[in-house]
Amino acid sequence: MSSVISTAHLSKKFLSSEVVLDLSLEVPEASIFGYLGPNGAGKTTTIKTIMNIYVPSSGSATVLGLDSRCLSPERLQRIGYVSENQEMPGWMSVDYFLEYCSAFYPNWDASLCDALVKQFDLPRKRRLKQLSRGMRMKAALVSAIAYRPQLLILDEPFTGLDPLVRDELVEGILGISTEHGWTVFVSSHDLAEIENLVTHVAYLDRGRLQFSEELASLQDRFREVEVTCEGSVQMPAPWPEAWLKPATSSAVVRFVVTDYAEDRTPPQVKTMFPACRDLSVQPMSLRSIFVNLAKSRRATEFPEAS
Amino acid sequence: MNQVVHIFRKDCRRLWQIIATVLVFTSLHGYGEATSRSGAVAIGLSPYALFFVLVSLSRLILPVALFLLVVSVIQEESLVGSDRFWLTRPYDRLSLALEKLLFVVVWAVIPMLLHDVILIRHFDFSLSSALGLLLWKNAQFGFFLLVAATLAVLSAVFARAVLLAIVAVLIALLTFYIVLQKAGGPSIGSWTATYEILMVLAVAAVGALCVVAFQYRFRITSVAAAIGVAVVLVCALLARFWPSSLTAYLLQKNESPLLRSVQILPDADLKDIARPREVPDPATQARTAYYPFRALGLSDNVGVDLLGLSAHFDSPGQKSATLYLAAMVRFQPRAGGSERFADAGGPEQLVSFAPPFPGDYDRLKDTDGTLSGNLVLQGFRSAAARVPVPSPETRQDFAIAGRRCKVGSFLRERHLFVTFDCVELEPGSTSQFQVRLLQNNREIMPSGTPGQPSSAGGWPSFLSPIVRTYSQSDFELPGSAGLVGESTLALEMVVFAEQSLGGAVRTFHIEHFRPAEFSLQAWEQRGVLKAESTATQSNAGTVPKTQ
Repeated sequence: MSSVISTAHLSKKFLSSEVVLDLSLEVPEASIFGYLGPNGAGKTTTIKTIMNIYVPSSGSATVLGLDSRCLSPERLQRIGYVSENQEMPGWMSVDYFLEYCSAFYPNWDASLCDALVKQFDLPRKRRLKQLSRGMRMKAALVSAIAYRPQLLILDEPFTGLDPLVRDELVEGILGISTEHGWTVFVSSHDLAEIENLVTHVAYLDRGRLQFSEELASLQDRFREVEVTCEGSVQMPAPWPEAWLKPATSSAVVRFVVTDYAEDRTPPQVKTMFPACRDLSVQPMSLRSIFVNLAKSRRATEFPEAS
Repeated sequence: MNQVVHIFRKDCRRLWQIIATVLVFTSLHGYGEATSRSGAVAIGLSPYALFFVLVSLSRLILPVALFLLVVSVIQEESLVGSDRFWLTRPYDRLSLALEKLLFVVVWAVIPMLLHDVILIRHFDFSLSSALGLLLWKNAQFGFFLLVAATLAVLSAVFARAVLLAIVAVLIALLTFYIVLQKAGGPSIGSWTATYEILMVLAVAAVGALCVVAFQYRFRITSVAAAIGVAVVLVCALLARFWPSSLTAYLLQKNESPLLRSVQILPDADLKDIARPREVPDPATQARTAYYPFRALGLSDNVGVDLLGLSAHFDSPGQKSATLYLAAMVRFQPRAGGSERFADAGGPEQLVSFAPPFPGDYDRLKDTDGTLSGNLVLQGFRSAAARVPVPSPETRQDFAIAGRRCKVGSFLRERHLFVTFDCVELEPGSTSQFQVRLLQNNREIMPSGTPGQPSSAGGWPSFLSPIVRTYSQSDFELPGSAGLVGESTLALEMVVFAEQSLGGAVRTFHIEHFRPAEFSLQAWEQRGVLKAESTATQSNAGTVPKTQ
């Protein structure tokens, strides 16, 4: 499967502050790619570099087969972009905004646009600045979808939206992208909102890519393990690197395994905890994986606090 | 092209209030210029009063509205910031830049051009004669718009553009201050800096264009701002190191054909020269040396004013000294009985030389050396017209030396007031305007006011193609004239107008210059000066040029 977005050792600095470091990423075609990370991880900077809003400090990004620094209007006609921070022309009415955008795209599908406006229940005559945040995001999404882009980039599109609107947007994006085989690149710091949306996921932390893989594979290899021992827990040493820092309470120890394998991990746990009386292995939600990774990082950074 | 039109229509829809403001104030300004209402005082509260207040304010509001128009249209698709909607849309940057240019041309340049053309035609000036003026005026206007565009491409909102303008002015002042504070050298007349200023403005314009083009191409604000600062520095360095020889060359190249044959030569054998203008400071007068000069090659109605000089006095065994002109001198052909010049001067004049430091005079006064240097001249062409004094409360038209005037008169007690409302094309070449009153072909008195220098145009000069001047001459009538309360029909005026012909520089060289022997008293004793002192009066009335 070819990559729609590809970065090679991409870095972006603002003066002395390094926001994105040595990022190498592949976004497969027709995937819904979740680009995750806590606030300030460098997600928006990566996206703006991919969109040629920022120039990379080093490395490169390729979008639809072209270097991001050479993104031409023709290429932008095949990319849809919606961001929570985007400054929309608030003076335009929804109708005029869509009409204005339509002239830039030869592939603009007026019937799809009308259908989306109806689906999202957008007030056509109202000015964008008079719309609620959710409505404005819907209008932006319509303007980014109506020309059937090959690649849809969404930067924190669901932040601050109420659950109903968020679900509507997720359904809208899911429905259209799977129907047309588009690639969707969506960044978020809230995993619950995109867990049901993405097929692939990458995790960025302080500008560095922690992992990038298919969601199914990720969920296969992350397991929450609970070990109940006879008597008090004796912590094994050395602690495996692929196991996140454990939490203990008298006879019970809980930890996250990041390289779970059905045939290998349970025997290994039993070996390390000889007093193991009961072993429970639970699959994890994306949100749990994210939270545990973040906590583990914090614990590594600030051991006294943890 | 489709994209240009599409964005243009969007911008028109977005900025229609500013467009309307520019058009309304352009019209009001044109009305004010055409009807001389701009100086009217509105009294009371009425729609008319408001209208005239707006007409009066148009000179101030119109540039602000134009600035707002340019900044707003560029900031519609701001080049600063990373969250602008248009950045991720398939805008073609060249089309975007062309659209902004089209918008400014359609809503700023063309209305202003129409305003100019209508005014020029309104005052019966021919468009062909005003073509150069229109080009020059549009170049100035273009510079103003370019400055606004530069500020707009470096800022995201209007308030920041204004703030940036203030910062830019401060940076420019500071840079020029630092670069020019140690600049010395003899100044041979401030007006000769015209070429220097023009070149600095041209470099600034090219620099501004580079900043705008760079931002539209690369959109890296910090680099664009650095280019802007570098341009300011280059301009300051250009002003600092501008070669005076280049100024002299350009002056010579662009000299009026009427001045090319003019020579100003020192001649110690001249006789009966009018007494020169007094030097205001007696101490300077005491250390001022004079030397007779004769003007050759002056046409019948052409004169030259000696505005300044830069001279070096070299005497064997002494350090060289610099001398400057202590009092302005006017050379013009002899009157020959006809009314051509307002002043009574002639082609032979005593030119004054004063050292800037008293010690130099004391050191060199008894020496014998050579004096050489440059004379900085400004030529003028004089015209005279006889005009009947109109009856009180009526106005009549007359034209003189490129000026279109309406003249009126009124009597108050023993005074006759003659008013002139004149227009001429920018930048206003009339350097002096004088009136004398005649009765039965005999001059009964000169103007009660000295020559009226014309305005060099209002600020900002790109707003109007015409210069409008109002002047009033006050004649205190003698009892014998018997005119008080009577008709003014029997009276005539002689109106003199001088048109500037631009500058010229001439070199001179005097052997055996002995300051102590060249005082005013020494020349008087030698019979070089006229014995009577009354001849000096009218020459003393000459006022400096303001062009």
